[in-house]
Amino acid sequence: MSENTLLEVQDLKVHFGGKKLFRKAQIVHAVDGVSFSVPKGQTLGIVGESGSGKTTTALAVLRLVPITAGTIRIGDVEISSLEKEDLREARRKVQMVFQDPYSSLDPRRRVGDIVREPLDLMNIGEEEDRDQMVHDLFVQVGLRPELASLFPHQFSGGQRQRIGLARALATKPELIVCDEPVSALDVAVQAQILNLMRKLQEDLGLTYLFISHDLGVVQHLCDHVAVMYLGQIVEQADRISLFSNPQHPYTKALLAAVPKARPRDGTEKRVPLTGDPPSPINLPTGCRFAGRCPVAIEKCHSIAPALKDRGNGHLASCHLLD
Amino acid sequence: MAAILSIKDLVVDFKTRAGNARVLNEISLELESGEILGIVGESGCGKSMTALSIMGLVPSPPGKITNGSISLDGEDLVQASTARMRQVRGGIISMIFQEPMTSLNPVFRVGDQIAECVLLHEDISKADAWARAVEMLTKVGIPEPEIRARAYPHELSGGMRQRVMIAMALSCRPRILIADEPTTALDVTVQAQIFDLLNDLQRETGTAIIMITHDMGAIAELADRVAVMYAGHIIESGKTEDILTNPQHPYTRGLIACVPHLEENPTEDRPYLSEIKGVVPSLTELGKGCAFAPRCPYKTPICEEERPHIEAVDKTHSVACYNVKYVVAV
Repeated sequence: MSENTLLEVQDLKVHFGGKKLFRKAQIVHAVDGVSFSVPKGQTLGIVGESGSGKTTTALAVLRLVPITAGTIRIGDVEISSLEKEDLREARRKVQMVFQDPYSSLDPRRRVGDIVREPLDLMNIGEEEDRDQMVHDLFVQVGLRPELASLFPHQFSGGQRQRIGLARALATKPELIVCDEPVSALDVAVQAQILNLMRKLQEDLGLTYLFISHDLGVVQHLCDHVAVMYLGQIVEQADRISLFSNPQHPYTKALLAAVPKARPRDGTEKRVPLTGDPPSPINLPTGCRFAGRCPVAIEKCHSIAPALKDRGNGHLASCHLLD
Repeated sequence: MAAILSIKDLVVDFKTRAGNARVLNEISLELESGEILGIVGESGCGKSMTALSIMGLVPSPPGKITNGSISLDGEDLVQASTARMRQVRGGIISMIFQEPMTSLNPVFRVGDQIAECVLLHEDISKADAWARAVEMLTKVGIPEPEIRARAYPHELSGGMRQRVMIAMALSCRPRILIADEPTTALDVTVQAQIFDLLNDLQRETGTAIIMITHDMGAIAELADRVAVMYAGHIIESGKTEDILTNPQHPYTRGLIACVPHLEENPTEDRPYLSEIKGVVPSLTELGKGCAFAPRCPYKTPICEEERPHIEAVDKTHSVACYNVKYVVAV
């Protein structure tokens, strides 16, 4: 692991389910062998359709779901093996911003208390200084500090997401995991939050793990991008290489599906991706994308391709690239 | 082409505890037969209320249509009786909603739900209605339609459910289809499938579509013409091409510029996104001036004094802004 790496995930597996009393055990392979690393101060975006395992990966990094196999290191701490109090302490370095700003804030508490809670729980600073710290956090995320005595329902969606960010910043984390932080917001508010996130990253040297299905947002914010399909990473590269030179047929289809905000000229007919992803319970043998792949060959249905370097650290798993 | 639906000076008021909220303020729109009209704007700007007004579904009380007309082939729907509106809804104008899960009944088979709609509007036997349901499911591209018609909504994926909704909406061959954010809850790949489907169906059946969305990308994909709404007003309308490449109103410009669009060849250079400062104003506290003035970078004294009317800048393009010339020059 190089010195610059903040988060390193190796061969992470998260499987759900197990023995049923009268039925055969059904195992959901939500995340199935995922490896990636994020350099300090940079952003890794994870994209994919719903059910691809991107949120489960994010939750696993925070140890919010049980890990079946694999290791997760943050800095020099291997948090995948920590338990109880050690784990709680280690979580100070990692915080999360959630998708829905309406359900991720306690409606019965004043927002100042919501932002203060991590400070109290983690015993950060002297007790009498904490009100000032909350004040500073509010300023940092662009909210007037006197709003701290209001309740969440008195704020708009964008303001609530700012409160969510302030709460995440309270413990001075190194890594912030953002699960679709702007998808519930209107486009104009979305731009404000994305700009705020970039500014915070520049000012505080934060590292982001950014989960999104919006490729435009990912391209704008992320330095590296991993594309997930059915619990596995099928392509991973730096931002420029991935978007200008996508290798995997799934990535290509995903990019082609994004509507362009310029008038149609009629010449571009996208290759439609038909059907839905297969069930993560009964996984197909071979390449998991083969059933929907427009260019699949016979081999794809029987042998699973490996994630290989296709030059300059651009990883992709597809037989047609071998 | 003649307009099949024309809305004139429509005003809808809501009584709230904070006072009277004018959710639609002198909206005028025309829908020609066989075209796709897009309505864009942020939440709370009146897009969905426009759709509900056309369907005669404005919740009343507290809402009320206080002025204007909605004329369908010369017949004013605002004045139409409840019985007549029941014929219109589903028969002549139908609607698909944002959430395909909550808008299907979870305890009935999807085929029965489609057939129910046909039975209500047409004099037809149950067996024929079922056959129509299967035919519609085939048309919207659902594999094994005979089997899927017997499925319950929870057995289908989000994209499939939205296809069922479209099948249901089109089952009585309506002349107008209103699609309210039909793809927001769906993945991009499924969204692309639904766009293609709507495009194909529109070409095949000639149904006029009103497409409500906040996504300029969806507009570019589908719409022939666009109306941009802000705080209950239509502030700009025109051909999709003109609106996207030559937007006139500062709000429309902001709406297009603030979205990070996907580039095919991104560069290292990543400027911050341009922002529209502030938030959408509360509808109970609109002043007498232009509703966008408090957030507008180009505002002049008159903007806060008097509301600008929507005026034509060329044959097909109209804008409600005093400073159009100034904005264009910048």
